[in-house]
Amino acid sequence: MADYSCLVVEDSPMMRQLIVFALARIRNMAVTEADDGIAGLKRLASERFDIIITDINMPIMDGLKLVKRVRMDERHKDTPVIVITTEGSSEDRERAMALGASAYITKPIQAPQVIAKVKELLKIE
Amino acid sequence: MSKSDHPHDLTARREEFLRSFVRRGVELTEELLGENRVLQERLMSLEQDNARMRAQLASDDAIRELLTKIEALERERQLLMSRSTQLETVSRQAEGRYREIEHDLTELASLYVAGDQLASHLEPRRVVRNIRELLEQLVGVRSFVLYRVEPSGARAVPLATHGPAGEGAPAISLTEGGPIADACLTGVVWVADRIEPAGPVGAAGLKPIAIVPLVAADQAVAVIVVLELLPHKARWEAVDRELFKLLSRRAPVSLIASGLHKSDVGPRAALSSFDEALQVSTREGRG
Repeated sequence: MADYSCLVVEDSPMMRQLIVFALARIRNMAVTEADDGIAGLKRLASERFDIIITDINMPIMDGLKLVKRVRMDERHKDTPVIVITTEGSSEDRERAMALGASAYITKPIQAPQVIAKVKELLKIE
Repeated sequence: MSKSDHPHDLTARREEFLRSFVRRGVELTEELLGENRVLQERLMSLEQDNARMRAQLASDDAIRELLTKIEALERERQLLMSRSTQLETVSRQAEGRYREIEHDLTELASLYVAGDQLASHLEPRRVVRNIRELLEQLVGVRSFVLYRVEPSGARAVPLATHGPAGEGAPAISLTEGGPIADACLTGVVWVADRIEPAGPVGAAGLKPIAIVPLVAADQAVAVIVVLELLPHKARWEAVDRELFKLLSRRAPVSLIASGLHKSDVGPRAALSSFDEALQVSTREGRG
């Protein structure tokens, strides 16, 4: 039985795999993957997660819309959300934070950066 | 008998003697008592002095003991300081090692994911997308051109471009020399030592900062010309060269496989030609 659960919403299989690899290094972390915002929302409709990591630039439903929907949902409004942005896209980052994102990480994805942010938000020693 | 020898006088003289004797005894006793008092006082004074000196001695002992303890504690402190310094050094070394391992793990994860993704798809667009993502997300490339080398090997024509610096990239002649032709000829990845800012593609041609020939069966079938890195990436990392080498060997196989594969017949049907080819090569082997 996992102690923590994370939903990773990312359309790029390569990036998703990298994030999953990083999260696998946090003890007892269960990871669920979704390849766009809609697939992420479907997961959130039936499951609860301790933390959500979402890319901002995705087809169908982007990360900003997902953050907005998550914050409007009573069940998930307090769930920490980390958004993935590209270096230099400060506008997206500011919008995401204004919508209620808890933190952001920038591409290219670095495993230590992902691990540190997740541990910080989940208060894992 | 003289007048003085009168018995009455004798008695008087005896009494007188006795009185003086007793008086003298009393005086002596008083003197002795006085001396005794003086001696007692002296004794008391000496006893007080003695007690004082004993106390002083005890206090000196305590001080000596405390000094000894302080010395021992100082030695212990020095030992602990030295141990602490040693531990700090070990801790710094461990932290450095931990960072190195973290870095190596991240690089290995990138290489594994890149290899895995390149080998996981047969759909041409998906393969090209994976090449783009690998370059963009793992290396930090902003602009590049993916060229296909024509069967004659004389020319490379753009297959896909990404980023502003790659727009309008021309076909390249591979018979006139140059770094791209050299990379295609040798099959060796070329990476510029200095990363120059990319300019527009003009008459002067491309200004590559890295050239990755995609080699299959000892022939360059395609070539990736990297023109520009993302703004935050100022220099190459060791893993970038490894990723380029991996691309050089794995991407052509994926591209060829995706070209051979026809999604309408499905992967199993696509493998039937492989079955025939294997039979042919077995017959040739026997012959």
